[in-house]
Amino acid sequence: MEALVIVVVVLLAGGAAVALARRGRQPERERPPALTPAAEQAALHGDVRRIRPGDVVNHDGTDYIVERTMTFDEGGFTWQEHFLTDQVAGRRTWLSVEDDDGLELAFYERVTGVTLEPGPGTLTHDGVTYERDEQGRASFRTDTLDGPGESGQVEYADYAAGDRLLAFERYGQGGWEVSAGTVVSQHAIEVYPRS
Amino acid sequence: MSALEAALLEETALRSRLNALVREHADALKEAERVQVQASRPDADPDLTATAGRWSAVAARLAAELDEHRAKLREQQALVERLKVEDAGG
Repeated sequence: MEALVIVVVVLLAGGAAVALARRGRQPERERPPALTPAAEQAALHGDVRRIRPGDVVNHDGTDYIVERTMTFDEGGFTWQEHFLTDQVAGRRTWLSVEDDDGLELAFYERVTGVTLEPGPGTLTHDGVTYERDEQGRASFRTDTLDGPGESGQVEYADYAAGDRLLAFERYGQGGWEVSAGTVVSQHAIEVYPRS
Repeated sequence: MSALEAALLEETALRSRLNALVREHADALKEAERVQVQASRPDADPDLTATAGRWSAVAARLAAELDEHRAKLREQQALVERLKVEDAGG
């Protein structure tokens, strides 16, 4: 009987302590869920995953207008290439955005006057030796400010040498188009979306 | 609306304004160049040089406005960052 009384007293004391502790605590403010680093980046610099024609991309002090966007699809895996123009200096470039276990961004410029073709495990261009990274076929569609544009199939092959890239693309029955690129950090890019 | 939400909204508005300014600046530069080419022709209207100069002045003003808005955007980003930290700290 004595033991039972002690247990009841201990339980009551415990309950009172919890009640007092609860009364003294400020009501908890509902906190927003923590942002992932990618979402944090998107919020701070504009979302590079959502770039579309008409947006402005600022990189290294230069403003580029997104003229058109090509979306590629290979078995459900998608990536984008945006055609950008610097209206002040007249420069044209491509920005590739690929989310494959992390965001990969690269600026490309078309290489003309070369007779390079993909195939070998390594290729040398402009003194740089590139190793084959990946190759395949994908479907693509193009979007411009005026709406949907061309669509079709593309064959591609990508070569890499550290941060330097060499890309081959062949549309339909056309010849290989060669582009040389450089990987850029997403932190180096600001997006000014069109309204 | 929380302070953070208001700050994010202001950041979005600044980005949108920057988008418009980049386009207006590019258009003004193109127009200045176009008119300057016309003005350099032998039989050109003498007023065209002045018109080209006015477009160049517009482009310069827009360039200054762009710089101003970029600075505002950086300030706004810093404010957003600070408010996020405060929010996370409870």
